Amino acid sequence: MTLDLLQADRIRCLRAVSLEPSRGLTLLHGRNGQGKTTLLEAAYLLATGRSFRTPRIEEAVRRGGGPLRVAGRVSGRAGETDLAVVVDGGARRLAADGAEVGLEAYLGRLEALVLSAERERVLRGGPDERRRFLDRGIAGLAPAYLRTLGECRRALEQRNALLRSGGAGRRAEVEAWDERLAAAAAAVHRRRREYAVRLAAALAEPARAVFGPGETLTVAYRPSPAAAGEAGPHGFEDAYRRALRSGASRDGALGFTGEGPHRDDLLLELEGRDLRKYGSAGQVRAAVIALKLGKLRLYREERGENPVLLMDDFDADLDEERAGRVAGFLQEESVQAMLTTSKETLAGALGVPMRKVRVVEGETRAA
Amino acid sequence: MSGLAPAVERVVGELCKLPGIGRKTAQRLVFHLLRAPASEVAALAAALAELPEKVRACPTCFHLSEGGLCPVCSDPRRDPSVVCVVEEPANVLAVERTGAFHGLYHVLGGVLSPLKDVGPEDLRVNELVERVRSGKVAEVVLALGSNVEGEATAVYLSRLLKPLVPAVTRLAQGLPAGADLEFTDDLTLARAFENRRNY
Repeated sequence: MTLDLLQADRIRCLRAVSLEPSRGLTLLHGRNGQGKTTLLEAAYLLATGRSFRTPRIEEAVRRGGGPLRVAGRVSGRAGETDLAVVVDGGARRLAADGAEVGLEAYLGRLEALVLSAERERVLRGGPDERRRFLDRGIAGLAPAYLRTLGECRRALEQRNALLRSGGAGRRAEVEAWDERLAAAAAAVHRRRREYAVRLAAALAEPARAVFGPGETLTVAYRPSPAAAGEAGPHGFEDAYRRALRSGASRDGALGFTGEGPHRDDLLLELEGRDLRKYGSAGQVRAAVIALKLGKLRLYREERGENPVLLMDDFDADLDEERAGRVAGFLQEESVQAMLTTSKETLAGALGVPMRKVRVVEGETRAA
Repeated sequence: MSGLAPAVERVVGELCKLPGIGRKTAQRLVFHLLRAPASEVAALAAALAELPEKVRACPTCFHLSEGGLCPVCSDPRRDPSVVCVVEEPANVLAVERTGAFHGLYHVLGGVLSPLKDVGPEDLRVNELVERVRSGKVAEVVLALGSNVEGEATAVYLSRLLKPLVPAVTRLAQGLPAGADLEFTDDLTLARAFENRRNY
């Protein structure tokens, strides 16, 4: 799908901006603080009804007054659609083809993947960031997964509450929660394992494009407890139940459950070395881009079309050669992407045709 | 201030405490009562006043009753060898509506939930065990909700009861009646597969 028209008004510093992105690459360039990232934020808001910069959308309303309005035209397999999002005070209204709709009915017309500094925590941050990465990816393909995840979380909270209240000695009760937790955890485990395997496969080609032929990026699911993970998707439930039983006295002393899907992690290695520990800034940034492109491919396998890619500060930590390889890959894959940079000369260095748009003090100028 | 007479305000305040009733609905109900004949209002008041005095828990199954056994336990046509365990009295009504069950009930009075500080001692678990132990119960059907708490409670009870009774069963989980496979969420569909049966 492509975003053919993007209009944004009163979102942060932007004023009545209207932009026709290229169906290929669009480079938004300009000095810091001119509104480049806000244009990406506007596109993301149009796709999801949310911002990737703040959970409180009213913070994005222009200082001095709203209403904030973003609108756009999308074309995809389902035809052409006009979308609009208006934020007035704390209220958000969504409209598709002129008719106001609820969030659930609104979503799905425009899919956007965003790569921003916040999202890069997936590699440098704690394991919870990587679990969220997995879970968000799975839920994007199968929304009912959120319920599975909710059940697992709830069973875990209940078991922990029992342990905290000194209930570790009440064997029969603890075991009832073990049983429930193991069943819910097995469902989460199965999904995460399956997604990680698919991601690993989808990642190979983008990773080669980003890193060049010499270096291999691998991704591996590291389930908890490790022993249960080795038991395979079908043996997990039994193995986890045994682990819960043997860890019961330790868990009782701690007052929480020490092992399970809430301790899962995703390991990223470059040539067999843990990127999180040994990766340079450039390698980490490249790996995050590769992960995102892998996710994009999974999305296309599932839905038959590309989502729109939004990459903030595109050339951060990338040398020109690597930035050029990424841009080349996007072009080959026919991905519509909006990229921001503070370097006006970047477009020439990338060697890929792109539409250049200059952003100055909240307005756009074709360049 | 609401601008309502104190007597009206008192009734509105009381009605607001009921589940599903907000201030506006409460006011609508009160205005309706003000227009209704005095005898109707008195009948409602009398019926409400009787409620805490007359309604008791059935000594056997803890369903609602008016002193003595509840209508189900006192019905000689019911099969006392099958006991269906439910969470609340409202669940008895739901099962009764189906007409598919002819045994007796046991109302637990809740489900296990350590987060809300509810353990087995807060539920009518001992009473259930006593009942199964002393009576001629051949089957206990666990008809608890399919949420996390309901299922954990079912696991707990099944382990407790299995040594005491020939059969402990639970309600099947699967496709809702009239459902289309395409529109069934994958969790429900997965459980329907796990619980598939022979033709």
